Amino acid sequence: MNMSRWCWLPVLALCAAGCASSRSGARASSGSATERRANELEARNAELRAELERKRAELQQSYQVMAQAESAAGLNNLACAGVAPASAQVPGLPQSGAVHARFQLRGQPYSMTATFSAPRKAGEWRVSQGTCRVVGP
Amino acid sequence: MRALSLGLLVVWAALGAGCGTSAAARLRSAEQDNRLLTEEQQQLDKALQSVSRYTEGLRSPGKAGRSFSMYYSPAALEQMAAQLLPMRMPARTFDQRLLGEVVIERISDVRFGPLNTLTCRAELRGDNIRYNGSVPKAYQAEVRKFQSGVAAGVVADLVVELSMGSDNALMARAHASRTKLKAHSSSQSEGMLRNALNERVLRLPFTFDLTLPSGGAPRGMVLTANHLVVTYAP
Repeated sequence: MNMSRWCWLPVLALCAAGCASSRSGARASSGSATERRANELEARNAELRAELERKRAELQQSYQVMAQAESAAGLNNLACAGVAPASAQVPGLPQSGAVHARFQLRGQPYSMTATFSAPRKAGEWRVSQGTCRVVGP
Repeated sequence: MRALSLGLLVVWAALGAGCGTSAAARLRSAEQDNRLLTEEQQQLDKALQSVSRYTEGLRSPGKAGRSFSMYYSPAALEQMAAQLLPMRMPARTFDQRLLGEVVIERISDVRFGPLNTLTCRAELRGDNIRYNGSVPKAYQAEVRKFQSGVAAGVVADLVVELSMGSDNALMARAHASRTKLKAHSSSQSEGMLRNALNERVLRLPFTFDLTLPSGGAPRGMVLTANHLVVTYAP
């Protein structure tokens, strides 16, 4: 019985070694098509991760740049407002009383409506101050 | 001897399976990663395009052409949320074994941050909350404390990621970063509440269809330190 218990050890070692060598062998020679495809995808994913990191940093930086650009354009503290270039008249916009968002909460439909007052000029922009109202079922 | 052969067979099968599926499992996992990474990249590309279009438009309004933007401040979003509240939901939304209701009473402290992410605070309260599962005697006092803690109120700090989805929809993915019971604070109960919020109540993103009745479609969305800006192309 003791003998049979000790038999496990070399068998397990052989199995593990066989498994490891077949894996490394497969990797070294790029083995099966599946293995090759997995290697290619893993390499592509590493590239994608690096690219995402760079783009996230770019987006993070843009946060400050946008705030500065808004200040420079004179567009500050706009609570619920429609803004269009003063030079270009956009017909029908902003349309007072129009639904600007539709959504569902717990299966019930809601909508958000914006009502605008007469526009004022702010630098090169036309700002229409609005009142945003959420209407439920 | 029979036991030994049987054991060997099991070990062999297990190791064989491990060796045989490793490449397929790696490929499956890499494919899944690739899908998620590609999706995230598309979202980031869209966000970066919106940022550069917005910044260029601000610097030279002539280039903005016939576009039109809606600006929302953190205070405006709080006001709109207040119009939806209080909102009641069955407590079983949090956990199947809970009876009663959860009332969302207030959304406050909305702050806009980088990476199209905003943070806010939600205040909730349990109304007639009862735990319906079987509770060993030793834990019954804890459950009573939890029930009265939830009745006194819960503060949840939320992180909300905004992105433009398909079909002119603004997607808001919310995640509770912290929950705090106003009474009977306990890290275990608060952790359970946070998990229930994230895994059940906030599992799916909130979707806002931004199509205008005139047919105007949102061309982009940016979140700056001061505003949530949705730009429409008529």
